[in-house]
Amino acid sequence: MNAKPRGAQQVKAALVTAAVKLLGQRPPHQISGRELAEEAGVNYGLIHHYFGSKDILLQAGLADLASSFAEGPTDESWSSDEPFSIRHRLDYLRALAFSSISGELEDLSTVHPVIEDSLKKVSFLRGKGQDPDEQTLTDVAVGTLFQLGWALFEQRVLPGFAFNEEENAEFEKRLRSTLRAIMLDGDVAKATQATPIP
Amino acid sequence: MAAASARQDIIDAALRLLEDRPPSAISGRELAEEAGVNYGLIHYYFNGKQNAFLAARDFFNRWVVDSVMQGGSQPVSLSDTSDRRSLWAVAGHMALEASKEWNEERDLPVVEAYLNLFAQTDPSGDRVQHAVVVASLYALLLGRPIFGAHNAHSVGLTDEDLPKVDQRIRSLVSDLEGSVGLEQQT
Repeated sequence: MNAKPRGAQQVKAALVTAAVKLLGQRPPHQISGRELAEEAGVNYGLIHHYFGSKDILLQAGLADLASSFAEGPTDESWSSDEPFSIRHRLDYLRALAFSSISGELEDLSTVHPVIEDSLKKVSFLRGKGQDPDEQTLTDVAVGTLFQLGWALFEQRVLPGFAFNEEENAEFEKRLRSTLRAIMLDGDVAKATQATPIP
Repeated sequence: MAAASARQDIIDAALRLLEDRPPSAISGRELAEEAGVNYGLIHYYFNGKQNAFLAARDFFNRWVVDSVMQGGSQPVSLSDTSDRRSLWAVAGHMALEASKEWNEERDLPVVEAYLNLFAQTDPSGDRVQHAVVVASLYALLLGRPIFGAHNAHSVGLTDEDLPKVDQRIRSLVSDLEGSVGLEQQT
């Protein structure tokens, strides 16, 4: 068993870690302050002392997930700006889904460095410079929810396709083309089809 | 209490609770209380909470195929998923369930209904394309009600811009469905 966290820094870190863990398991309104304290191995009163309220602690948990996702892993085996990168961080996806379904995300809102980054890129690729127009904003919003939606449901849906490895690779390739077509206002119907050999 | 209806009461109660949270965050006692039945009946009919939720999932999936997809003859529309909380919130919480028993079950009536539908509307099409369309429809139609509003805010859009997001999604859905030979409904 771990030693009981001591001192402001350790206690705060333990509470944020507990928030991150529980946010991936159920909606925020189903997480009590007592559970957070127990999970962190600290006194219940310390949540108030260091964060002011349970909700602020959960918000810190979500912010922690968002920033560690944006940073990517230390070994750089993937990067948050690649398509469907959220797949590498199912804990963050789950936390987003739970708080979003329950409508609690508005209060627990966090900054999304990844989205900001893809907005700039898409805007640039469309020749709109650094300042995205409304159409670009809409398409990036749809492209992002496409990635989140698929990452959430793929484990449910994929077995139904009964693909072999080769088909799976082709599927993945075309799904990425579809995402690209959504973001860059391309032809989605064409993106789902096989690319003819040039 | 009539026996047959108690079983259905438990399933209905499970679906109501699934709008709020995943199966693992619902206790057998809560389920019994929501259904207005004795806790022992959950064991009597389902041999436990886990199977009661699996039966609810099965019931839900059949309902999507039989009722929303009209027996598998039509695709799900954006208003089907956006306007019916039971559809997207329940589907979301079911997808978020992480328990092992839950994931071993490989009954996928909705995916199957879609693939069968596309096999009819686009008999010469290839199965990878059909799968990409199914996947894209899932992502858009369920991604919108689950992540949409917050997601739109995070790119800097406001609630007033949401109709534009919906319009874009509808046009994508229509293009995707068109690519597998589905007639556009108006």
